[in-house]
Amino acid sequence: MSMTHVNIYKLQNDGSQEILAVCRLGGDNTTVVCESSNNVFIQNLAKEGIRDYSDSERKQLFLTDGRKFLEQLKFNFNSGYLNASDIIEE
Amino acid sequence: MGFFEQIFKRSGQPEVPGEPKKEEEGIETRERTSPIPGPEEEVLMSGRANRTEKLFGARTMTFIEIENDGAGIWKSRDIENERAAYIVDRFFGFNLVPPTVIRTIEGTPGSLQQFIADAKTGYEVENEKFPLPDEDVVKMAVFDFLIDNGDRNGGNFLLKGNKIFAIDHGIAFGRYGGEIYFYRRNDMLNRMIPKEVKNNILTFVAQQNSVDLLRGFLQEILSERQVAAFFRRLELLVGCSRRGRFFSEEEWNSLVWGPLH
Repeated sequence: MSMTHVNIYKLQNDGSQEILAVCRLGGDNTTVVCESSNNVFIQNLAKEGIRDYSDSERKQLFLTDGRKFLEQLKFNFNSGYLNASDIIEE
Repeated sequence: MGFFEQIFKRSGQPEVPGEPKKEEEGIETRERTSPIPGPEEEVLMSGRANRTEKLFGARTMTFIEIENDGAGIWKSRDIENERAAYIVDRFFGFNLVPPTVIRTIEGTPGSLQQFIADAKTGYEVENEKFPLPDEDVVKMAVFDFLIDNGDRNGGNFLLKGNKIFAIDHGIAFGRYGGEIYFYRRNDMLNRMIPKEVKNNILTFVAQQNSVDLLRGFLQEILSERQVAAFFRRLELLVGCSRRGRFFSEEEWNSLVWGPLH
């Protein structure tokens, strides 16, 4: 499994942020795998996908879109309550 | 003459179905009809910032704890849209948007919105058990049309018990001409508009003072084009409210979006 990943943070009542989910680029660089103790979040993310904000039509992206999915997470999760990091390459 | 031909042949002002309310002597109309500022806004504006936490991952956002009075989320982008969305919410009684003000923090202007504790985002809620009644979703759709919101996804609405909160309105008021919604737009077409929503819209346009007040508030923070487009959208919703239903598919497909953004 690649170490390239994005952290998704959930804002807590005291202003601290906990990692809600980690989405990693698969070894084949073509699929993303997201892990979280919150299965509902993971299921919704997999089922609903996110939007490509770099695309004029804002088409949907899914885990199978690989790196593009990771890149766009921070544009989809930036409300303050859920925030995604930049891609972290390790 | 068809429905939309009638709409666009009218002047820019929404139609007022009855006589304007006569002002009573000695009573300040502004005090009677303006729903803002409310006490929660006063707290956001003036409350002492006890502690601030810059948020990981979020661009230009800070969590601000307000002394003895909760907390807020401050952002330095799209601040006019955030404030305008709240103002519209208050004037029409949607009760979706948490109180939001414009406040300068450390020399930088931003929008400060009341933090909703113990809330889940749409992504954190099981779809099958989506607790919102249909009419709340339609209410959100009406609100999103009114503010020309181009982005309502599972990350920018909150649920707390049975209450829904609408957040993150940076991409509104003409900022983006497309549609991203957690609900399917087609599922909203021809749906009955909740009675409270349609009554609030019709009551609002019947009170010229309220119309003028809202226009004034919006003109302070939005461009002339944005304000004009807002009132065009409102006029269309007045038609929907009179019929009691959101746009039909035919009406929706006939919309000419340029003047509405």
